[in-house]
Amino acid sequence: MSSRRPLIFVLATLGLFGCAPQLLEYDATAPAAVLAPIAVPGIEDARPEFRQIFCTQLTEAELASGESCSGYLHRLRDEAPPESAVPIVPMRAASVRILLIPGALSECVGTSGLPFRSGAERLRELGYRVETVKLSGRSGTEHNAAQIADELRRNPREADAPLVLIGYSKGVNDALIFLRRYPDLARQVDALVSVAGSVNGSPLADRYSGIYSMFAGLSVGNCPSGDGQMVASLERPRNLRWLAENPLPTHVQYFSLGAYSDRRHFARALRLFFASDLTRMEPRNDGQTLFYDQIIPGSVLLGYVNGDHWDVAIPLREKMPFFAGNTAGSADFPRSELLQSIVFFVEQYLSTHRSVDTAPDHMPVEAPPGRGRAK
Amino acid sequence: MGAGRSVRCIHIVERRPGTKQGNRGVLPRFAIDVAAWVALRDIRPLRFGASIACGVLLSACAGSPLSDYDLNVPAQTLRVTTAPAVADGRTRFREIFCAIAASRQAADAEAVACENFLLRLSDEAAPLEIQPSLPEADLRLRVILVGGLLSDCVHDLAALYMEASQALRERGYQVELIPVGGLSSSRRNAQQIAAFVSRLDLQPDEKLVLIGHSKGAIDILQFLVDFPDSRETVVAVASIAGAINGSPLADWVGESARPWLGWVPESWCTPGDSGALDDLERSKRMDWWLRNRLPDSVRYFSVVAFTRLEEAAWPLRETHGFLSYVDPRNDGQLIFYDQVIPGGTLLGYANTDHWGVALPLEFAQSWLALRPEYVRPFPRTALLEAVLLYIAEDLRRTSTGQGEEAAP
Repeated sequence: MSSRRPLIFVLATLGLFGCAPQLLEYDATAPAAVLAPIAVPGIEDARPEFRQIFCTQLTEAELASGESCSGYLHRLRDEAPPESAVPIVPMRAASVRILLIPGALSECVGTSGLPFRSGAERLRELGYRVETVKLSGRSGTEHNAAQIADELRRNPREADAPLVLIGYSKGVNDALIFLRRYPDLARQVDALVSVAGSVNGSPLADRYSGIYSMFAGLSVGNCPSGDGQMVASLERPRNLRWLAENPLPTHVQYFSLGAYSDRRHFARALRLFFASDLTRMEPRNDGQTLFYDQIIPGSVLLGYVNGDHWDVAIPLREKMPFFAGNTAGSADFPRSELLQSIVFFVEQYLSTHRSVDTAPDHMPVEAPPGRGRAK
Repeated sequence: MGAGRSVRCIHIVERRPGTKQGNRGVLPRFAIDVAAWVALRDIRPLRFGASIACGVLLSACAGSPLSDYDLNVPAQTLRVTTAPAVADGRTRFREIFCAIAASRQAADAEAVACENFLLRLSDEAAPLEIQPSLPEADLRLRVILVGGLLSDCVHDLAALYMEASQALRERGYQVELIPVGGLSSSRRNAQQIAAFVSRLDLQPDEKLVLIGHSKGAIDILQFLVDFPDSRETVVAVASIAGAINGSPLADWVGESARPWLGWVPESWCTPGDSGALDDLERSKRMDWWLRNRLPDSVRYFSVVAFTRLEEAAWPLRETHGFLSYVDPRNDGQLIFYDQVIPGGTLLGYANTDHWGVALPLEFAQSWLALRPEYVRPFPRTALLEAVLLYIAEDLRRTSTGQGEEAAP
């Protein structure tokens, strides 16, 4: 026996010494995946159907046609071919009411922080009722869930208009907490859509929550401090624990639309501050969250848009053209078309999968963790 | 190796258990961020300069991993969208494992040690208060062990569960090790497993339990898919630190590692088809899970391993550090959420590294197994016996239609 043969164990470590590399490569077409607590339900795949609607919208807007649509909506290896999609003609019936739920820091950058602002305008022209909930941009999810509850107390669901919440980024977490904390009000909700949602939180919050807490009480101009829990409420362990411990209400239909892009298409600010750490963890990220952290367990997967965390939902380039722009020089993401596609798809889905003329009458069997406004 | 990928300097810091890791270097980094944010927001003339300064400063050093080594998280898996959920068998498995471990050593010492050997995550159910009873062993289960990457190269130095197998044989179990190709692809090793199984002289009431370590686990799954007849004799599969989703390390080395494998002398290892590393790439494993469906007639179990960087065997610490940038909860080769078979039952999280959970390096190659003094050798015999007892109980329960401990 060779005396050197035990060195094979060292070879088993792949002989890696020295510097920490980026282990995973950016592969835009690798299969969709979800990181989730072990017992949570699976995902329903509606990517071909959503692609159909989104690409139609882009074609009508003369922004893309045919395969070029994939430039905006990733086609992953595990997505069923387009011909397998059930043909969908959007109803455009304006039969649903939309409540947009903004993400973190939304009030700090004026109207540029409001998700899908121009898209909402266009939907209103089509007859849809679209509102944006005013949330505290720097508060935690418990605080903002209470604000969503207040909004629904003031403007309750109309009997004949299913209520669809569309959450962006942390807005998704706020909405999920709301659904569990306020079961009586949550009965009004028919669907929740996550757009680039930080469903499992963000690893960036794990790193920065301690530091942020030192400055959390500092109010800056139009950016009040809120309850200071904005970053802490996005910590990954906390969100994964919450998902494991809190089965989501079953009367709500959940939809998820993820986002990721290559670094060249990241806003310069995201690329500077966050991209390298996130990319080392998982190259498919949007500059704020990882692609496998963006999916609500048990939801209908709509797809993954090709854009960074800001570009897919908020017009930040209006305010900061350089830092919110990217080195690839790509144009704004077609957010209006994206919002319309989401709404048309959800409207169609709800009309074919459930009765939409009455409020849902069943609630989850699990006891809610608490009621009333969170402290 | 890994040409074209970005490489940045890191600092791996020795830490004692219980210390928080991960915030090293955050404050100056955050100060840079704040400065840049202020410039970005309010002081227009400074914007461009700030962006350049930040870019230079931040690219100079990558800092520490984003996530901490945190046990206050639920059990989790990374899985393709079509994969089924996982049942939770941790509470019962802990009872069995700890009872076996306690029966071997002084009870007062073991009460602490057992908790140390099996990590408890936030969502593990509390144990029942009544004194747990051990399941009855089923000696009709024949145990087949399948080793991982490079396993045939070292089988006479530190064979998979060498001492544990001997102990189980003394208790009446039939335990055999299949010498699969340590450098070969799963498809080729599946053929070797099939050939081995076909030669077994099974009694009518005997059934097979296949236990795979690391890549051995995916070799077994490939065997079940490629040889449907196997379903008549195989009743259960247990993955021990199994490369179920592969490893980001394999993605990194990729094709560039093939020449390395060719460099290994034939006197050390069977050359095989040198496809081992390809099959360990995470991207390829995820594709595998999309293409293949495991037979429902077989029961699947997963024991996951992970530990702190400083408690891993020294050759694994560097790779542990690399993987920590993806997730610090890893065993030096695999990340904890990549080790769970979808649709199976999670048995527990072994607090040890990728070798400590299965290979008796302490005996034959102690210099490779050097760990801090306070790290006790993992009780592999108790682990293997606990896995077999759990499986025996589970098979009895499912055959009588009592269902699982915790349904997905």
